[in-house]
Amino acid sequence: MGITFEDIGSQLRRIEISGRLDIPGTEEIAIRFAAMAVADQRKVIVDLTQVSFLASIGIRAIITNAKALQSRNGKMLLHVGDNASVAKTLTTTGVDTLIPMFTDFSSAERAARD
Amino acid sequence: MARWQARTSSTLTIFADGAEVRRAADWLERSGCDLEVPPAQIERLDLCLHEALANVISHSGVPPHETVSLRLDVRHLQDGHEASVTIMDSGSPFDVTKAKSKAAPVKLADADPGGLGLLMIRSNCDAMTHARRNGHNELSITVRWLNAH
Repeated sequence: MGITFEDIGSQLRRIEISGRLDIPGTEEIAIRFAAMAVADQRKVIVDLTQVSFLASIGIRAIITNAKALQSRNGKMLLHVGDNASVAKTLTTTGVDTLIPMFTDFSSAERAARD
Repeated sequence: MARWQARTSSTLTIFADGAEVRRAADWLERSGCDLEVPPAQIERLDLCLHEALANVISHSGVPPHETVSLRLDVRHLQDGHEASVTIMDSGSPFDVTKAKSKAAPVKLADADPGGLGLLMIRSNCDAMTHARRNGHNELSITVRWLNAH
């Protein structure tokens, strides 16, 4: 299970998560994910292209951090690339209607800066 | 009506602990592969099994030192195939097939981040049955696929 971040300019951060976002995987990254994501007015693109399995506990972590970010005038977006299984899970659960989801990174970046 | 052609099974016993879901997933992948279940169908069952186990571990009242039994049955029929994973736990009675899925929120601010597991099971399986036998819940989750042509 991996989680890294890269700052793109002063207010946009890309957080890349890889591996299985199941119970142990989500517990392993939960604290670092929150610390990396949540800050005042921060725009965050969560890159899920390398996530091999997305369970409800992983979705819960994403929603929790997206809400915390929104309450601090920030914004979260999701980048899924060609990861069809993760995209399907996000669509099935309606998460894509709550947090904008993109298949290409440049579109996510443009939306984050709007 | 399709006639049974062959049936094969594999079993595993795990503890009702979150750390054990990886062992269950590894068993499902290995057993499914051995029993000729296509990877796409194993992926569907993997998600269903994880969510069912998460429910047992978090809500059934089964302590982590008690066990949960798993069984994978694969049936090859004349016109297709089906694979069922059955989860047997000693927790409080809970018929997941009768539980209501929660309504999808419209706004992020209103979103309750919990309770998506049942929706994920329902959207990834073709059938689901529950029985209560000898003080145990028996939840069977089935996926089906057609013969390759």
